[in-house]
Amino acid sequence: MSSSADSARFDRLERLFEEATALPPAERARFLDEACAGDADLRGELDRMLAVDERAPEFLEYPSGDTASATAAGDAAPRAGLPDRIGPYAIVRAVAAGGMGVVYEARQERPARRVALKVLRPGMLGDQATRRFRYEAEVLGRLQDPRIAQVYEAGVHADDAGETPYIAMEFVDGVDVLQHARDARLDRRERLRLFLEVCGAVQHGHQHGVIHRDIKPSNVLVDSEGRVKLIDFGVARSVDPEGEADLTRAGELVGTLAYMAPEQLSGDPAQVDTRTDVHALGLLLYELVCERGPFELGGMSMTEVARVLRETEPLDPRAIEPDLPQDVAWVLLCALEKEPARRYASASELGEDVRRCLAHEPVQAGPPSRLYRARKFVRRNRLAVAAGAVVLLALVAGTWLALAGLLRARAEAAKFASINEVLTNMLVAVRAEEDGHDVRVRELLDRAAEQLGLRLADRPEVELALRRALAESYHSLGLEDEAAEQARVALELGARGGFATPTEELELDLLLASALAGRGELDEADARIASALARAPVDASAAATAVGLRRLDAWIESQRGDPERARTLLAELSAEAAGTLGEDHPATLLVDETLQGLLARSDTEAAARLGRRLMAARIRLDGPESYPALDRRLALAALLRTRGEYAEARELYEEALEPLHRLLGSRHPRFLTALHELALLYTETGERDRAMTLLEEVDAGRREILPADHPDLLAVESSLVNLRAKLGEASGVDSQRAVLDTRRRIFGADHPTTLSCMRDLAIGLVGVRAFDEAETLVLEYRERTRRALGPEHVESARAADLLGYLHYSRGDFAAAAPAFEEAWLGLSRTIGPESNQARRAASNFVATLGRLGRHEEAIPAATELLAVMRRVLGPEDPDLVIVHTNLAELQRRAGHTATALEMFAEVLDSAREHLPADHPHRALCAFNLGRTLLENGRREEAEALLAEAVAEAEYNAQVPPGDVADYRRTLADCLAAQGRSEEALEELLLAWEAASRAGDDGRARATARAAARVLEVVESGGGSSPWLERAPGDLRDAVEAERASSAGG
Amino acid sequence: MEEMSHPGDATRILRRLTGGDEAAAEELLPIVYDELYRLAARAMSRQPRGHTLQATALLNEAWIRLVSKEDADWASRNHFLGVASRAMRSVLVDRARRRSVQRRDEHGAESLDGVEVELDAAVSLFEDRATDLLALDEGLRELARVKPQLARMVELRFFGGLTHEGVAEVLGVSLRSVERGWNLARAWLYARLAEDGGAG
Repeated sequence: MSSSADSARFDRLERLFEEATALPPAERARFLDEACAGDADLRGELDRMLAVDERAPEFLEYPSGDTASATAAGDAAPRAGLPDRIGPYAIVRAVAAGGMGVVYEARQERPARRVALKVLRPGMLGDQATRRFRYEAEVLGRLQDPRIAQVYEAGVHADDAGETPYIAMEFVDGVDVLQHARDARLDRRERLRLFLEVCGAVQHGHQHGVIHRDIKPSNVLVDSEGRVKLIDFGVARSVDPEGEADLTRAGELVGTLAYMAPEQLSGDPAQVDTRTDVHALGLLLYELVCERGPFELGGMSMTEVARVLRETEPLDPRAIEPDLPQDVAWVLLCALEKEPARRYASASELGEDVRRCLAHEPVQAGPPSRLYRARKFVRRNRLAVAAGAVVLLALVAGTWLALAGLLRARAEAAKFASINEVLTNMLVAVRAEEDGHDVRVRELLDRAAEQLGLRLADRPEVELALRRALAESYHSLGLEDEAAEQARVALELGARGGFATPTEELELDLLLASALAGRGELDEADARIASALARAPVDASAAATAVGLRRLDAWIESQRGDPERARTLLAELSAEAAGTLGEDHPATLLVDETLQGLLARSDTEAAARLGRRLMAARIRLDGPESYPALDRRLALAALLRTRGEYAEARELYEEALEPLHRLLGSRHPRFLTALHELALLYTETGERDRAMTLLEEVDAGRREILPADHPDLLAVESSLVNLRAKLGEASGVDSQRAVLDTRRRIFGADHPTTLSCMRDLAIGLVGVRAFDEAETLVLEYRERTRRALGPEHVESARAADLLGYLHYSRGDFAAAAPAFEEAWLGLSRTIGPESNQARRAASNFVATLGRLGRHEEAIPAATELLAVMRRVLGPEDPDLVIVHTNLAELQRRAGHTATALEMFAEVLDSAREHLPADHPHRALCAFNLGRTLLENGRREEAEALLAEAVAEAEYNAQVPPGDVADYRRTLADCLAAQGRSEEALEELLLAWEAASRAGDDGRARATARAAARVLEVVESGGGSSPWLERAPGDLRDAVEAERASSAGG
Repeated sequence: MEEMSHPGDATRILRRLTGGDEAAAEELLPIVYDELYRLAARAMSRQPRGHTLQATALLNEAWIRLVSKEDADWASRNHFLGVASRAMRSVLVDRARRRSVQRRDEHGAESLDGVEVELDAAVSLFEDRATDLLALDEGLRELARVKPQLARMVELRFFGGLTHEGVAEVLGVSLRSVERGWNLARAWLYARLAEDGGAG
């Protein structure tokens, strides 16, 4: 333990230390011998102190990460132990030290300037290398760009320690670009603009034939005026042509390694070119916009880091920054491609695309291409590669060579089924990895289809297999015309040359019928099914195909408008298939899934039961995150949503979306559909902001992948329009009208999507109070729905609901009531009384009767509604309070005072227990009970509750001032009834104030009337009140007016 | 609900500090300390590339989160870092101390939580440059007894990452005396740690 920490001793230490450091190292020992004069402790301590620079140059350096740059922030090593001069430069301080040498800040006298001096360790270079070093430095010196730190000269300094090569560069006083972006809190656009500067600088180097080779944040500095300066341009090569020396220190290497392109990691300098810099720029941009790098490198060894950089794909930047525009993400991924050929060819190309992002122009980079993805798929699935790669190659290039290879492969393997499987799998995989648009895959298929006939004329059995695979692929892409054509050709080939297996013809029949049905040729599909079933052998081999044919048949029935019959057929088929094939057989599952879809329109409860079972089966058979399992989860979620079981539906959606996104990407139609459905759910649960965010995402996604008049795109746009209309954006209606016109044109007026759009527009029109136009539309909607679907269909009930809404909104309650009643009953019958829509219709029905003063009639409906709500929401849900209150209010108005009092008391208890402290209904509940008590003469109890209501309301901004006015006025009534006139008048003053705040003339008048009454009582008792003198002028006038009119009347 | 210090608080205190109110530093310290802890916990979930940026990142994020943009000039940043460097020192030394206890206690070793893992990374990072944070802390205390300003310089530079210029501004001394003081303090601490058998 040191004993040096007393003041006198420390001062002495300080003085000797400073004197010693001022001396050349060689003279220090003698000086200290003398100065310490036998104090061995002191001498020992000074020796240790003077050793710090040599033994631990990094001691107490701030661990900031940018050790190798000439930043001012890194002004580091102390003066002690520095050389005085190197070449013509006076050394000021060491800025950084690395494996190869040291960087100093130095001064040049002529011209007088600060320089950064990169000094190599003596003896690092041989003669030849030294010459080369000078040559390179000369080339670097030609780079003259304000954004590149200028290289002034390269030289060799000779002294007794040997030859020391050095490079003198412009000294840059700045911080690294990431640091700058954080410190200056640049937003994304500012960061992109800054990055453009970097691209410009790198491009300047490229134009002069210089590759930077070491672009990383610590080499991209920003000076105090916000200007970009690249340092060490090309220096890595000039000081280390073989690219080895830098690797001497592990820490440094890892820092550098993380910014290397895959081709740099291969160690072959010949592979490094301008695109290597593009990769590094990509990494830099990634960190600029994501605040982290694209790879997980934490805690890895160098070998592991190198492996990750070579082999793993960058993390999707939008997974880190979800609001990052798609085009920026594409630019990043394009710059970061592993293969140089797939990247931007130059920094300027990259910069140009970034500029386009900023200008909102389309970028050159697109989603990582499908072919490439397919190739990656092959790479990942080595097992399938033997046959698979050949098939894919055949598809891609269509070359005879590849097909010849395929034939060989086939002759050896003789596995038709597996070729089929591989091809289909591959296409499905390509599709799954697609960002949604299938044009490219389609091109592939088309080219393959074209080639097949030409190339395989003499091998009909191979052609047949490939045609079939093509037909399946087309069918899975929904390209039914092409699918039908390929299936037909395959059938012809089979008819001429024989089928590979006895059931192949049946399977092709099924495929063809599916394609035909898919494009709406139901009769032809039916005929095909009938003839196939007639020919089907009655044995196990054809059982699954037969089930498939019959399922299709039933589906066609439903399309023809006989869902009842289709349901019966499917239910029978399901039972039969479960018996012969087993419940878990794919064909059985498909039957059940179709059945679920049909039940969803009639018996949602049965559909939900079936849905749960199918979901469980898919999870068990295919895994919880497989596409089939996710698909079932989403189907169940959609069903539960229509049933109003929002909590569970929402959970299912939210669970499924993440793996679905991983599986399909953010632009896949299925993913977008699920997102859209979730948005609608949010709309229904009132989470409009969330809904809006999702809808905008869906809209953006679909715009990218779909033509402008695609029904899915129209659907999301109309959802957006509707939501905006609900949020009070009036412009919505015009867009809704346009959407409806498009749909009428494209689908015809009776098409379900046109009808639903009609509905949406009607709602929008009601919102902007265009009642007549709305009514015409609603009537058309109801008429068409009834005709198309029958009066017992859920849509007919919805039409009634809409009509009720229209009448109610225009104030025609007498017309609204029967409409709502019809809607309520119809919705309860079709989708169940618990469904959200049935509940809403019931509640509207009750409210309408209330408006009509038909309280007695409303009570049964309200009672039932409350029971349903209790069942659905559970007894503790805050929403129950409102429904319960409404019922109690009905009881009160219908004159059932005792029941009303009891209910209000119940509601108040439940509000106190279940509502959050700032919920406005707490005050309302107290008020309701208080007022009813007052009406029944129980004044003291009433006063306490009314005072509670006032107190709750007064401090709660969520209670509308009009309500506050009511509470206060009623409290005043209560006080007046107890003869406490002055208190009542005080209360009325405040009630007046609240009513004026609400801008509510009716309530203001009621307040004045109440005050007039109280004053009359006071005066009739011979008294007088100074109150009127204190009241504000407008209140006084209003009171006088009331008194005059009551005196007159 | 757990109390979060409001960003505005820090800005207000910092304004006083920049205006010369030294007492404000004591008020800012716990806020920054808490913020560093919170950030360390959050950093667990989104680890930046490699690990060399974490220490800097922690202070920067604390700065960004605690101080409103209008006040984000360089002078106030230096003052903020002046306080943050002390908070950083406490956070790291506290963690190093706990860790040394945990090491001794065999059963405690496996129950590191996320913040601790994150802070351990930061401790290691700093110990790369100072061998032993506990010994350094002790050395700094000893130095502070004779030359408080020198100890402060070390704190500002090493834990706060301030430049010489920044240190000069925070301490209100000349650049030259910062350079001299730094060289001396650094060498003295090195000698002290080397004697303890740690450094070198």
